[in-house]
Amino acid sequence: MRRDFPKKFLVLVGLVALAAIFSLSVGATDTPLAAVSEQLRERGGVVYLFRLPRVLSAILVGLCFAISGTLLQSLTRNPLASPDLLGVTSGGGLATVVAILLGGSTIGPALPWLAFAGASVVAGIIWTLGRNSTPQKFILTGVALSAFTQAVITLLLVTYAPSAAEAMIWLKGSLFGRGWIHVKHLLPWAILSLGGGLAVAHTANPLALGPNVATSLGVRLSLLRPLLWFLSVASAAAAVAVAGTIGFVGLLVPHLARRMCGPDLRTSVPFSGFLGALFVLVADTLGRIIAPPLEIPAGLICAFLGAPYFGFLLWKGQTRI
Amino acid sequence: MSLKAQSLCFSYLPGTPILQELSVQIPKGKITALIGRNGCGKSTLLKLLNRLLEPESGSIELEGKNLKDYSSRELARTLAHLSQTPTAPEGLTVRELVEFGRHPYKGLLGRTTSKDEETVHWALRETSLVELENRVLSALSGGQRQRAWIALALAQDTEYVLLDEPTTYLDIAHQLEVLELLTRLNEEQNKTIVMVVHDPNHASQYAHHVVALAGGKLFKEGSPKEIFTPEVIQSLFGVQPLVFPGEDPEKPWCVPKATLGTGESSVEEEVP
Repeated sequence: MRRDFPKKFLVLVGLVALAAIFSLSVGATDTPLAAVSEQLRERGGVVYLFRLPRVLSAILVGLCFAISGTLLQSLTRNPLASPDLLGVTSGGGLATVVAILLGGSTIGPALPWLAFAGASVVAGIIWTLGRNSTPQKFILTGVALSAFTQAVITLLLVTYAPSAAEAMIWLKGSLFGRGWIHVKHLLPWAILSLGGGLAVAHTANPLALGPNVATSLGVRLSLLRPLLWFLSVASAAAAVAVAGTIGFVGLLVPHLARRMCGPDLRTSVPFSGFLGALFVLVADTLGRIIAPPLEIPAGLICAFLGAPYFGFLLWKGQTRI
Repeated sequence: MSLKAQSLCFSYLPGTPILQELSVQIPKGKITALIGRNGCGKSTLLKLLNRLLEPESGSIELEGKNLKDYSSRELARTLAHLSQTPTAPEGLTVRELVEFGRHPYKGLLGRTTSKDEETVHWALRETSLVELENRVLSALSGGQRQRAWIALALAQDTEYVLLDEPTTYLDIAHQLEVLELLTRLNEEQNKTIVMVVHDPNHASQYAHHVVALAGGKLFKEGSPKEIFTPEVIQSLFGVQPLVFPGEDPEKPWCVPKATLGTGESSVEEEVP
């Protein structure tokens, strides 16, 4: 563990808190900070009923996606692995689109669970097909399945164009209208993601040296690999279920976290979690204030911020990918 | 009590056996050199001895206990293995790499004890890497990097150390440095060392016991003096050697002079 980690981590948590306070006070009508704290104390008003659950959802979604990516990158030993690339996200997307098209708005409360089921099914298929092959083949299995699932989603959207608007918005990854029910759905998974990630962090660290060295160092791959897969899929699925397919967080944030605090998972798991939280929270807040009353989905902002940054990293030829 | 393999059979692909009925005994507290042509099964044998591969038949006994009965951590505390071309993630420092050697001793949270600190420091000192400990591995020379990996194996603080071509990629001074380090570990700490080497003199000068493999079978084993004779080397490697006695009559020198020609020495591809 690097010595400057606690300091960096505290700064990061502070930034998340600042972003949250800012996000609570802005909106269709800006709320002064005094009124924000009053509404929080009285558990009422727009701040408590609408903005707070949305802020919390953004934080938990970002945390889940980022930790999922961090664990997947450790599992596959590949910095390009992420829940979106491996098809877990699109599996959740497909299930949701089907559900929305079939059931319309009646499906509402069941949506998170359906998305979760879709993501898990795709994850199960990838694991069954790819677990005994090299990390490269494992990733390619996921990419292929992801492409296939995306194609099915597109086909459905095109075929049922008039009624697909709701599904469209969901697919873009948005936190619009997320309430306390979503926070309740997310919280246990986020705790599992962070707690489980921290619990396996030390054991999983030698994976970075390759399967042979890890085995020589006493790591039991036959146990650790399925555990990492389960944790990363469960976190990503829970996040997709609530916020739709917010891309890039699971790819970019783990990578950024590793650059900032080194490859030790004991630090990069919590750091990437909070960095992901910050990222999605800022994206969602920006989406709300850029062009009101129009809302730009957080997923789009993430892609707008993430893609150029990623290109910049590759272009700069940074060694610490 | 030692490391013993009993009629091992192994193949990567069905029908092309790599090891056939191989039985060897690694003497405890000695340096053993594994020699033989490319693809003869040396690396595979090391992997089987470290349980990275499972034999199709046959058994391995370590300290009187079947290798299968070791827990992963227990094995990692008894036996260290440095493979041929290990790769580290970008950005890892020398110290961080060597600290991985303490992994089998740490609990779930990976807390570091003073014993861990001491052993890591000792491993860095033995490999003359103390001054480079905060450097990123990718910024080191090939020789320094190889020493860092050896330091990782040392930090495991095991009775047995297996090394697959530890001198490859090193200049001649660093080659000797590694071999002298292994000798020192053997003499001062009584560690049992098994190394795959290609330079016949590394085997003849530094090993107590030499195991020569050919085609996945035991070709001959014995002291350097018994193995490094013109007849054995000629039929083992397909070269005409010059063998002459050194200052120590037990450690002959061996210089390969020419191949025997006509396909005899054709190099087979190394099996991964």
